[in-house]
Amino acid sequence: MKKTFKYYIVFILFLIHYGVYAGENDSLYKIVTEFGIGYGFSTDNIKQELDSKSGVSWYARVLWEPDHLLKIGIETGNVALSDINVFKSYPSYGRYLIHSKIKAVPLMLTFDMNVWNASLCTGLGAYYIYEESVALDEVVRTHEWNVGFYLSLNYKFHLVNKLFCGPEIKWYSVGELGRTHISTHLLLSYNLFSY
Amino acid sequence: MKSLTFAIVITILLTSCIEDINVSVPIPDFKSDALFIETSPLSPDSKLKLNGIYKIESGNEAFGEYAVLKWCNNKLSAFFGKNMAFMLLDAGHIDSLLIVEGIWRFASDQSIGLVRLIVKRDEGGRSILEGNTNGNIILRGGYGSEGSLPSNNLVLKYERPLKESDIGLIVLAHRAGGRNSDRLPVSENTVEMAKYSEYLGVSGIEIDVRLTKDNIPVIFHDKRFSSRTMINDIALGEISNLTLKQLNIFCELKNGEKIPTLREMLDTVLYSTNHRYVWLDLKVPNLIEKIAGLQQEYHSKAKQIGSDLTILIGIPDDETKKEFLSFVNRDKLTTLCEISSGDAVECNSMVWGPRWTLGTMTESVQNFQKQGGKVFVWTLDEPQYVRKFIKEGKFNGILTNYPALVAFEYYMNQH
Repeated sequence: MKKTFKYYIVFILFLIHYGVYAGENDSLYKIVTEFGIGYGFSTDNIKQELDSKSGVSWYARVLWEPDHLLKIGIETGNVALSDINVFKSYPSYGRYLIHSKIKAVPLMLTFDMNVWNASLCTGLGAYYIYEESVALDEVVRTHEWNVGFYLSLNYKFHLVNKLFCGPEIKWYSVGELGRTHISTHLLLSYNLFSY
Repeated sequence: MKSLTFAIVITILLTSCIEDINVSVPIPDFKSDALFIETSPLSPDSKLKLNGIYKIESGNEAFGEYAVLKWCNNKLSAFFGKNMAFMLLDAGHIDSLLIVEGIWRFASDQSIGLVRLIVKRDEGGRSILEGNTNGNIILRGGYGSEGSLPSNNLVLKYERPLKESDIGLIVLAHRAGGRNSDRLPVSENTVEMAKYSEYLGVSGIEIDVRLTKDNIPVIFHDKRFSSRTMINDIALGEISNLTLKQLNIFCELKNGEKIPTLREMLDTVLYSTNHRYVWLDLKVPNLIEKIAGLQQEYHSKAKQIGSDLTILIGIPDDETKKEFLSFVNRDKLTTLCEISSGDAVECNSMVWGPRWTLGTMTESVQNFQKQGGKVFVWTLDEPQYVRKFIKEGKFNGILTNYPALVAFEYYMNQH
């Protein structure tokens, strides 16, 4: 079992543990939409990169908030996993430069839990990963699906009416690819409607 | 109580984390403390005098009771019965003193370290150099952990020469020598591994064949690229989506190697190793037609240089069998059938390759051998079963991820 996945299980247990003892929320059932955009960096196993692996990521999620502190929803977005230049060599081609970009689109089932006036959030699902690498006169465009998850912590301030905003720190883990991405986001949350 | 359970579960999960099991174990070396570099090389006759079964007089806690020493290509390899240990050694002499240095490795837990042994003049040093030993050879020295100099005693005393059984035993290495998870210094299914596996007592290799987008047979086990096999993830998805040129430009295996073509692999095996068998495990359909020509070409090249190299096209399942039986020139192909002995007969296969979990199947094995065939069992890694299959089985070959263990058990079993 991957180390990151075990941390994830711990996090889920943490949510469940607090969820079990959570009090009821007095508000009505709500549908909440949230949007975040931010900047972060990735870790990977490429050792000879020349440029940084930082990039912009954004997400959008829709959450159903019942009369309980735990919200459930779905999330998607786009995460820049890397944008790098790497030197390689091969006898027939000599030394050459590879430019490679990898992005991931998460499709996640999301759980959001109010803890200590903040929100602990996690998503479990899949990443659609797509990549473009260019070197010499060759271009390779590849893609694959990876299972994965993310964890995040955010704190929301009331702005106006049904609109909230706040900072969020988010950790994406892309399963088999063995990549993680940590980013900070500006989060906007809007109570779409109640019933 | 619930909080206590929660805390226990968290503790167990956090403490059970493991590191990346596909990264090679760093190889230690003596650096400036090396004595071997001061030595003169041994003559071929002197080298052969070191081959044999040795009783371990000191160092049993790490290596067991006996050691098998055998020159494998240009290395003196030592195989042991405990911890699936092996040593890869260099040997030379300074006057009548033999210096043997190298590394030891446990395949069981991937421990590694340095080893240095000396044969004194009156304990076999002089007689080995003169080529007239009377079985009086003692190697004295020690072994250390990782990069530390040898400090634990190790003494090996010659007991008897190595013998081959009547039918011999072909030790075949899985994925050309071992899996990436075995953490050897080279990657699985590479030309580098094909060369390295010779040091492990191997006389045949099994390799996995796939096709690139431009229909070139290449050696790669998995359908997809992943961090298990690749040092980077510059290419994703399936290997069949990339042309050979793209593979060469963008892909790098776990220890920095390139993905070899089947032709490159056969070239290396034929001209740079003493392997006698190459078992091609076909991972995709419709390969037989594409590799049949290569098999015949390399059999012909082998004959030209006096090599008895046999390339076996694997028939792993009914689908491949059907493809083989519909191939017009199938009579010219040398095959290994992994299905049943009946299927192997139907395909006129030179070798039948039963799975080890079917047992020793002595009667079926001998029946197939009576018809002129050979039987290679796969993939046998458990020490107790390796011992059992060598003692009780009648196989011509054993495919394994731990060839050093199979070599040890085989030579120990020959009296």
